[in-house]
Amino acid sequence: MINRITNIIGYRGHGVLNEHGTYIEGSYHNDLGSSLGSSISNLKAVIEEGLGDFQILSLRGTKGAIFIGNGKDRTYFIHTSQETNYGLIREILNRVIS
Amino acid sequence: MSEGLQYHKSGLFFASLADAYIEKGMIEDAIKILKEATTLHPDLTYGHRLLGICYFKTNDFARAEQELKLALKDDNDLKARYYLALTFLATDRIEDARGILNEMIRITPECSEAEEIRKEIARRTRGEEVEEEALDVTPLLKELVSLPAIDGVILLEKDGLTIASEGVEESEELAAIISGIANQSLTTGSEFNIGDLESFTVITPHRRFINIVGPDAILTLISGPDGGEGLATLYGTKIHSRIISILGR
Repeated sequence: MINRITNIIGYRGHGVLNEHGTYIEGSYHNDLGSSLGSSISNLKAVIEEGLGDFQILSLRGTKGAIFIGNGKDRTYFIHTSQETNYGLIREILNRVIS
Repeated sequence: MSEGLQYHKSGLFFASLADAYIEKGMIEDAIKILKEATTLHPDLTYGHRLLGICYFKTNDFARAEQELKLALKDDNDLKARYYLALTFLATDRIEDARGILNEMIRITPECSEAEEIRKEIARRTRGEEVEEEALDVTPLLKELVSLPAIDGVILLEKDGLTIASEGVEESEELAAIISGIANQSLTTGSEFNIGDLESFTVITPHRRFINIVGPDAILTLISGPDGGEGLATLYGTKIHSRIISILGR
């Protein structure tokens, strides 16, 4: 999975959180990964509280995008530029969370 | 003709040189060379675009319009359309600018240039259309819900208050939830430095929530799990721009 993600056009970084929301692996050094992971965890909690279980969240901004795949005991996040293949990222996330 | 001379008479050479002149603020020099370029290469739409931009920068709006319209032969030239819309706005032709804005949205549904034009049109028409707010939003939402990919629509203030909805029973509750997700998305997006949040999509096992974020309002489109998100987003973005224009937001 990681190989496929890092080859996607516009790829900037990615991370994996465990069931407690702790950053356990990814392209960021530990401090930055933990900080970004914490923000992802907060966002995940807001969604689950309001809408219940979700599979994928994507945020699109003027300068980049974030994709979050919500697996059973792992959360995956990918940061890209705006010019990326949204469909391909979702396909990869769908595979890793299912 | 030698290779070097051929290059010096090519459209690419003219365009590169004109670009450099424009970059340095030498607009008159750029105009001079672009006139020659477009005479030698009348089908060089890029040259007409640059010449139009130069005329626009010198407030010669009649010539700017003439050149930029020639650049529209390139169906996907967003920049030419952006400057043509600015030219129309500079000469108070709001409806013409709105027509160009629609073309810009067709080329790139979400882009900063279209957003700038939309805001300016909204600012100028606010006084004229303020009384139509309540009347005109609902038909637009009905139009969205009539699409096969969309089951329900909510237009909400960023603070979570519902402005209008169609096809959604729990719209007040959902609007509050969407607003909460949007707020946290802004925080997270800022930490990743993704710029201004334009849209966010949540896919749950049973529904998709496609949210298009405007300056003060959010348009939420709700579809089934297999709904055509691309189509929904395209129409949502188009209609969102119209709604925002009407609301003057």
